[in-house]
Amino acid sequence: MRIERLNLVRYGHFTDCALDFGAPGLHLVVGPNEAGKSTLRSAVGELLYGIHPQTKLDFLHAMQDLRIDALLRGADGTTLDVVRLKKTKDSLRTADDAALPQGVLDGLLAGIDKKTFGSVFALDHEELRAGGQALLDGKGDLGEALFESRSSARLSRVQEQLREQYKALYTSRGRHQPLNTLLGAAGRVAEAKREREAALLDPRVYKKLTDDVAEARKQVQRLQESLNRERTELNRLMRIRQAYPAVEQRRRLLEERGSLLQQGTPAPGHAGRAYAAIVEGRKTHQLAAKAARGELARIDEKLADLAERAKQLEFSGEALEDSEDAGFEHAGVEYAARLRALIERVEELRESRRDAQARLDAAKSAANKKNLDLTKRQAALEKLRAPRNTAPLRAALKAVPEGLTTRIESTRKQLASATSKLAAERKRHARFALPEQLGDLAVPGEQEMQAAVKRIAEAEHRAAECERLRDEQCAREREGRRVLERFLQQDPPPSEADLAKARERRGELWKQVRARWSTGAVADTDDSGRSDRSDHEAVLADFESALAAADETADRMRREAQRLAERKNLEQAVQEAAARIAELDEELARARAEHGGLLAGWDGLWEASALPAPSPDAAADFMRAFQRIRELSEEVARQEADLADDEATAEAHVRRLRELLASTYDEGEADSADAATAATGLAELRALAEERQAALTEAARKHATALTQVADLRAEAAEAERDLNEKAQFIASLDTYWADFLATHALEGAPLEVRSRLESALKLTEERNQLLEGREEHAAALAAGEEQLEQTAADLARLLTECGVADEQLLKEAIALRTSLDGIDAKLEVAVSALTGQGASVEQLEREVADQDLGRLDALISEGEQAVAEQESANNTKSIELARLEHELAGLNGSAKAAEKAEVVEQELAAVVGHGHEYLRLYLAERLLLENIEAYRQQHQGPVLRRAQEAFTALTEGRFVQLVDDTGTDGKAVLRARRAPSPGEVGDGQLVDVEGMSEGTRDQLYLALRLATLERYAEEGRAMPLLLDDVLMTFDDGRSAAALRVFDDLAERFQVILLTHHAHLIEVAAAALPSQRLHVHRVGAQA
Amino acid sequence: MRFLHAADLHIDSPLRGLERHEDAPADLLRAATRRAMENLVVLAAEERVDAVLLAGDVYDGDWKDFETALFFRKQLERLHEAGIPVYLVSGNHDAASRISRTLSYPENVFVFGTHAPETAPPDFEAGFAVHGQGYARQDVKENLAVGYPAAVPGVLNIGLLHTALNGRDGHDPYAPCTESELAALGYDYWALGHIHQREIVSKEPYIVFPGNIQGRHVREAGPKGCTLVTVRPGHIEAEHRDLDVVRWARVEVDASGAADLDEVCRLAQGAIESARSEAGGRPLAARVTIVGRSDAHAELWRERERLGAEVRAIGQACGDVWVEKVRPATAPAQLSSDPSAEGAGTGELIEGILRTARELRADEDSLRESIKSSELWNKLPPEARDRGRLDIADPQWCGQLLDEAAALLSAMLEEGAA
Repeated sequence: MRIERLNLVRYGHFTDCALDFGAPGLHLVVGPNEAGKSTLRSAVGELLYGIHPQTKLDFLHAMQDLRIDALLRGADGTTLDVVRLKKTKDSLRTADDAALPQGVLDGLLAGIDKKTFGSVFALDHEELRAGGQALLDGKGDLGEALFESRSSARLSRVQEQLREQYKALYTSRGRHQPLNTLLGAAGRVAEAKREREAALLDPRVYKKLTDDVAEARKQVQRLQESLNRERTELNRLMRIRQAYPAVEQRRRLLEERGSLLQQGTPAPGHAGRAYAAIVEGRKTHQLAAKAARGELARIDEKLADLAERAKQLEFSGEALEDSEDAGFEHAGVEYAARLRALIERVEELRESRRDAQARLDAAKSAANKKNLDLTKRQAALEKLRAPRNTAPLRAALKAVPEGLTTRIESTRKQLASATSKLAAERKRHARFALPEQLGDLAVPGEQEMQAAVKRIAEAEHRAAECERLRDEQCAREREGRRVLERFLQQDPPPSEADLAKARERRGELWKQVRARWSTGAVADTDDSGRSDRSDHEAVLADFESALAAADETADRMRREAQRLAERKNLEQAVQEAAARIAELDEELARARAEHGGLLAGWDGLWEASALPAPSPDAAADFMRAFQRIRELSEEVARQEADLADDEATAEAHVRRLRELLASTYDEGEADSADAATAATGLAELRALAEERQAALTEAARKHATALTQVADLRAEAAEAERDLNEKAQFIASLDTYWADFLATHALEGAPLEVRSRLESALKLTEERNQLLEGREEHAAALAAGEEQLEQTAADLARLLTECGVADEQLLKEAIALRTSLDGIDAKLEVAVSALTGQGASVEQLEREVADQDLGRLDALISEGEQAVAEQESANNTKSIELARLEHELAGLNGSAKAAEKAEVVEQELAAVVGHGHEYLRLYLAERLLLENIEAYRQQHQGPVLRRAQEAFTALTEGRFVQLVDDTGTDGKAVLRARRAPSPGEVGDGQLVDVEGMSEGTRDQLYLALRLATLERYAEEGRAMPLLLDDVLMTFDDGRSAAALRVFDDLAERFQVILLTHHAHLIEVAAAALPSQRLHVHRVGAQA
Repeated sequence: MRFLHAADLHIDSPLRGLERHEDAPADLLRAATRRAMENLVVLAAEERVDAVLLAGDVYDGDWKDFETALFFRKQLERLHEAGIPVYLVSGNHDAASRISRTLSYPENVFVFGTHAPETAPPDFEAGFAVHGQGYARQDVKENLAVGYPAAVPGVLNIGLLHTALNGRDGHDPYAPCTESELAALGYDYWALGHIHQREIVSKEPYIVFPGNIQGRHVREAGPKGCTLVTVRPGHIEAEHRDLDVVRWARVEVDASGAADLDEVCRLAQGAIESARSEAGGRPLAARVTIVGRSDAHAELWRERERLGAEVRAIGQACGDVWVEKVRPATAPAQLSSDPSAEGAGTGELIEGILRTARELRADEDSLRESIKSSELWNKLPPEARDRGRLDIADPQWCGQLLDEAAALLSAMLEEGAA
């Protein structure tokens, strides 16, 4: 495919930039940097494959305006005019803007997609340099070199990345790569496995452990049994050793006991205790009897002393005359009680006398006080004035009507208000000129007046309605006339009148013609008659014309029947309107006459009242004003009458009150009386009278109170006097009683004295009674003690008999013998108890002791102890071992330790798998790439190398003559170039590795390979335009010229467009190529 | 009457494929099979079942830690304390296991013999009889079921057998037999083991694989547990009960609508959260596969390391999601008009790469040799080259690796040409 013509209509900063690439040969597009060469390159791609949706090339032209036009020519010579727009749909158009399916264009592209086009058919300086570098990086690897040169994709870089990435995961000698840390004997996987293995519990180990435990248990049991036997024997020997002293002691005690029994009969067991009790009792009773006797003697002594003290007391005891044992010697508990009663009585009498005296003193004081108060009250009463009668004044006050003065004031205010309202109302309606007195004016009735007003209004309304209708009709008539006029102005159809007129004219002329014919004027025409003849001709012509006009009028009337009807209608409407106006005029005149009549009737209504008739419109206002003023006048008259009545009543009351008030004052109250007579107003007088009446009432109340108080005080004074007398009499009776009391009890002296003496006597009596009581008790104790002593003697006698001894001494000896025997028995018991509880009977022990020699026994025990200790030690050792084994076994309880370690192993393995998978993926990707490169090499090596060799020779201007498919040191196919033999050199030139080439030569080699690969596309009929962007930038002129020639040669098969910013290249190209093969296009500033 | 039927406990079999990294919820996932077993014991006690039936493969055959057996016995003792009898047949793994031979069982456990089928003393009170036979050796190729005893009249008859039936993918065809052979014995319920995927093979009679109790790798995704069987007169009801403590999930992220890697990550987050909610509160072990034709295809390949890190970070942010692997399996968004010429339009270069890949794929041996020729291959530990891992014997795995390599290379070439 070739681009015959390219027009960047609106694209980037290009506007209508048209380039004609149609001519054969090399197309050189020259423009400075930034002139848009890269834009041009992109334009070709976007023309063919569509403008990128997010293109940045809309800075000058709006996105939707971007447009590239082109004429394309396919390999088979067909052409296609296309327009590419920036649109999401139908962006490809024909020259006449019809949508063009992309498929049509795709036919020309022969399966070259956008990426392939971009990477294979476009080459810029940077890509060329990178390609040269890639050749170096690939160390001339032939496959890579060929593959690289297919396009601009940097395969060696990709391979390098793949290799770097999988080497970063693992290398055979690596240490820190993830897989290196995981794998190998020291790797994490192996470490985790070791830990897992270490944590495993082997079933055999478990089995052995359980077996060991069972065996250890058996051994411990055996050892225990043996130990038990040793211990039993040792215990037996120890028992014998322990029994030795006890057996010996028992024997000695039994001997001692036998000898004691030979000394006499021992007392029974209880005799010792019984005798001790008797001796103790006897001693106690003897001591008690002695003490009782001593106490009795002491009491008797005290009684004698008391009798002496009683004598000294001057109280004979006769006072208790009714006592049977009167006198101190006989005084007892009863006597003391009586004395106590007498003392209480004396005290009662003394208390009564003291209280009575106190009450008498109080009564005297009260009577004195009452008399004093009475005297004072009587003096005060005498000073008070006698009360006065206030009943008339109260009656007069009551007679004054409640609210009279208030009402008078209120009535006055209302009257003033009504009067001012009346004046205001009259002023407001002054236009009606109403007279002062309205009561008897004969104004018309309200309904009558309303009816008259209504009739007048109706008449007015009718007249107005007539007028309105007339105005409307006039307007309609005027409009009809205007329409008719307009109609007539626009070539109106003839009317009947026009037709009649035309016919009339025709008739007239016809008459003239006939007249001329009938007169023969026409036949006699000669020279003289020339003028006649011409007149006749004229008349005839007129007639014909009138005939034609009449016919025409009639024809028109027939033709324009509709318009004629319209004209008739219009005319008829105008006429009807005029007739209607005349009718309305008459009606209006009638209505106006009726209205005038009604107005005259209205004035007649008002004649009787002598008032000027108001206008009917104001009639309602007049009636409202008339009634309002009449109501107000009546109100003023009523208020005036009420006020006069009330003022008369008030005056009558004033007179009466003044008289009554004056009569209530005494001579000394002249000032107050004057004030009363001077007062004029009813309210003032009334206040004075009420004040006076209250004062008089208060004075009367005070006088009455004083009288009552004097009477009360007088009664109280008399009462106090009576009380005083009663108290004095009571004291006298008490004194009499006291004298009798003293006489009765042979006492004398004051009450206090008497009481003191009686109390002394009581004290002596009580003391004596106490002593007598004690004396009785001690006597009884003495008797009881003597009785006990006798009992004790009887007990002793019984004990002697029981023990079979004659006296107390023998008894003591028998008891002593018994005590010694008991002591020996107790010791025997201790000895026996020491022997029992050792697992053998006393007799057996005695036998065993008898069998053993003490010295040999100790040796046996020592041996036994040693044996037991040894056994115990062995047993302990074995038990500890058993415990250890059991503990170990118990520790095996299903721990998950190994399982957890196994999980760690799995996790490490997962890491191995994860990294391994990635490694293998990368590795396989590299293999794929290499395989592909190799496949390509095998497929294309021959033709491509051949073509590349031609191009390379041309590009290097013959310095290199051959490209050689050689074998590298590692056995791989490598690319080498052979230099042209040096002058004088025999045979082939030198082979040069890629590494041995200069940078420029490598770039040329890459360019040669790259151009060679294109041939395949040409062979397949898939040649596309080749866009070379400043690829000769680093070439000198010679190399550039060579390259240009190569391009020109290539241009036979591919369209070659070389973009450059070196204007100088034009000269080089012009020198290198025939002019018809070079086509220079300038863009940007150089255009 | 009620009983629990479980199989393939594989106690202490580790979870596979989870690479250790910081913040991974390792504690939550530790000893998962043990805790699933404990869940089984708790469930049996809670449901007051009359029996627990264990249809073989208590341990991994090559697992040597006797502590595992002690743990198992402890669980059986707990069932004993709860008064629940246990009926146990050994499976191929148990036959291979050294630890299963040494263990003594509590008295509530009836272990069926391995030389002939037998009937355990029937429980007439509860009304059932269990028939079974264990594996004497690992590779039992003969039909064990045909020799099973006749049904005991008047009670519910249960057959306990470790078998692959007529064969199941991914499982060795041990103790082969057919449904009709099992049905012919007139039992009411066949409690099978060996197949790790839960399956109710038949309902008349009931022939049930309960699946294993805890998924251990991504091929054992989905709910795992046991079957709770309730027997009422004339009616048997079998319901699955989850026992797993970690849920494996394959999370597919459809990247068709995603323009770039960040959008893919957002979609992945949604997909992971959704899988997590389906796991019913369990920690999740997830393989995330990115699928669909996507504009992000090339970027996913070029930035696959970042993709992996970002998706793992999403899992970590959830707190209890352990991302096992992130696998890009997308295709380029542009659809070729000719499906056979996949890759056309992305440049002839790439087309050539893809063509070479197709050729290599067709030649399995060459492909295998290519993989083996890497420096790494022989250094890999044998476990890493196991089934489900870097399994060179698996043509599918090799093909997938090649496809990935081609996709990766294409993406890099595109970037290089861009």
